Amino acid sequence: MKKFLIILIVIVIGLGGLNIYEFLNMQNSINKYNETQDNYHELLNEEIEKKNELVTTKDELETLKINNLDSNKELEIWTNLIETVEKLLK
Amino acid sequence: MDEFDRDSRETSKVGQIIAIIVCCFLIVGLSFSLIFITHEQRKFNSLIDETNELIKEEQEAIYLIQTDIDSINQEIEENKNIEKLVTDLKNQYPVLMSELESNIIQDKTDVKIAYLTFDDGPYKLTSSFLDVLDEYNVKGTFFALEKDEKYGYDEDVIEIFNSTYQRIISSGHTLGNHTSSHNIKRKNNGIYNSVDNFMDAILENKEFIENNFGYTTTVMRFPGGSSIAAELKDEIVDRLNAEHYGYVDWNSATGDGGEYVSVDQSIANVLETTNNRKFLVVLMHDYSENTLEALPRIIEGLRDQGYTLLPLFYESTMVEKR
Repeated sequence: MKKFLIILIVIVIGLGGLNIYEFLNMQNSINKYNETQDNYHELLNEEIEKKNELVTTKDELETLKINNLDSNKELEIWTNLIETVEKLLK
Repeated sequence: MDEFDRDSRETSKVGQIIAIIVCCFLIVGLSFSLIFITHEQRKFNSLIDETNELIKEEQEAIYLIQTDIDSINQEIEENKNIEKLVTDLKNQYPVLMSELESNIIQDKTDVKIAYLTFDDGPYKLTSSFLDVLDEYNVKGTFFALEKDEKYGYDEDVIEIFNSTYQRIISSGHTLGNHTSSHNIKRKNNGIYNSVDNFMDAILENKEFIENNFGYTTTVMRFPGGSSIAAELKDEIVDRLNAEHYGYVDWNSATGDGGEYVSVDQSIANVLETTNNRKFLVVLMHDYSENTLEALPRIIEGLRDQGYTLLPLFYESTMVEKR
């Protein structure tokens, strides 16, 4: 009976050690999980910022394009005019 | 003694049994605890994997957005350059034209230039003149007046005039100053009553065009021609020069400024009097329907005679300074 009791005590000690080891591992996983969650939320915020930046730059481009409708036409007109004068100079 | 030994053996047995039972409970408890901890750990590991996947997706999404932003920024830069390119070309025009005019004067080339000019506008008919010029890809010079509520024009008419001033400028024509009022009387507020009156009318129109259309005029024409200014002319020209203005008269005209002139006569007045001159400044008025009808044949006729039709510029030999 004594031997059986010793075996049981060894098993209890072993299980206890394993419990502590796994518990520490779990703590590690929890910390890692929190860390990845923080990273993920940072990225989410970054994405929102980038999306806002994209909207702003798109707006800026649209405004520029609208303002440039005349400029594009003017560019064509003045390019033609300069080309005409350059031909006359040759 | 034997009884004592037996008692103590029995007590030890009971203790061992109790210890075995406690151990059994502990084993069961620790086993459950181990299962629970392992399960929880697996759960967190799988959550970490899921989050890492999400992070990867987010990083890709951010990269794509950043790529879009970069390409849009590049497009913005290209669009910003257009205005600079237009300004550069506008600045290049007088330089090249001065060289061309100089070559013409020195007989280094057979090129002949005709500057088509339109006085007294804008009128409702001016846009039709602009349509004809667009059709023939010709750039002219419009000597405009100040046409706003100050001179009794209605709001809807002013709106038409404003878009016409703007169209003249953005189409590459030269917009010239023809005073604000065109009041050529020699008394009271007439522009030829005094040098100050004349300059007031010039500067008022200059300010009107600058403030409303962001365009600085540097070429002007005396209403009625510079000779009408008579004894005031020299002082006016000095004052004009000080304001960075040159003036231009004409050496050809349709004749539409006075009595009725037919379409054919308008054409003949220009085409039959060119005398192969190297520089032609043709006076027309953009209120005349006959001139509008004559304009395509005038353009074609001048081209047939070898003229290139171009807009006036401050440095031109035809734009007089002191």
